[in-house]
Amino acid sequence: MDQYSKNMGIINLEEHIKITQTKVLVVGLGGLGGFIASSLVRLGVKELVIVDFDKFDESNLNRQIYSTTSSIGKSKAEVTKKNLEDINPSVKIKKVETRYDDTIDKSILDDIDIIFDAVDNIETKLILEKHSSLYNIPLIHGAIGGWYGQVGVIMPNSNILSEIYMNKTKGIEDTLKSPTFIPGIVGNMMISEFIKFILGKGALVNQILYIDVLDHEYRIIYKK
Amino acid sequence: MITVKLYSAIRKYGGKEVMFEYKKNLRVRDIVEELKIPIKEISIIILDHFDSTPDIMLDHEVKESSLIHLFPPMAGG
Repeated sequence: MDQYSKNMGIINLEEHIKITQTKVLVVGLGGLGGFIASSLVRLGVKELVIVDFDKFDESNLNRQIYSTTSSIGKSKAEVTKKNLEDINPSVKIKKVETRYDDTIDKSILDDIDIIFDAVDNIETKLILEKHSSLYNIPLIHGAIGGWYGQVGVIMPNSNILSEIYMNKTKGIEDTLKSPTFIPGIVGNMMISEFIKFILGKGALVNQILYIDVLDHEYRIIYKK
Repeated sequence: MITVKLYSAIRKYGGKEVMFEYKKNLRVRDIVEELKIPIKEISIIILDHFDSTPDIMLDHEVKESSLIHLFPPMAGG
């Protein structure tokens, strides 16, 4: 248990056990997804399913936690799985090396308690929201661009993402890109919302929190 | 006066805050057009503490001392 001792200042044993019974799906293993997956195994979740079709490239080195010069050209899912198993061998990791779209084998959603939206495009975010509703699984949403981010816990059938991305094809990340610090900040805010949600500690349920780390403005910008 | 607050990437259309003179029948859409912000670059509009999306909010009329917040879409991972 010493592995988790530094979490125990805010998480009691009963709560820790609850986390260790949780099965999580993380879609996207880039900036957000790498930090999210790392934190989930450090928290000691029961099982993690990680999905990404992509390979690491040089442009990932500025921010993606499992991107190293030796991992360039290698599968993000494969490299991430190896690192996660090294951090915490007691967590079962399943990797899925495919693009997450409507044709994906839905058995990957079996027994999933929470889905993490760590993808980098609106189309896939909307597919995740649809599957979250169809299979009745809450979705931890996150998005980043430049100095900015947003997070929220999207409940099945709330359709928040369909509303805020209506008629949109791309976001501010298209021009502001993804600097070194932002995935770690926003990815781990998604993790703290995950903990609060699982443990009933007042998560951002059906709300979108806007994060501006340049001017330190944080506010709820959408709620249902 | 009407206060319009812009966030992140859409600050390029007017900085952090823009003030407008109130006119009768002025809608959120008129202000967005005045600022030359393409609708596709706005994801969420908050008008006097009521948050919604452009399809619903653009045709709302503003009041003499309205406060409007405009947020762009964000989707990076």
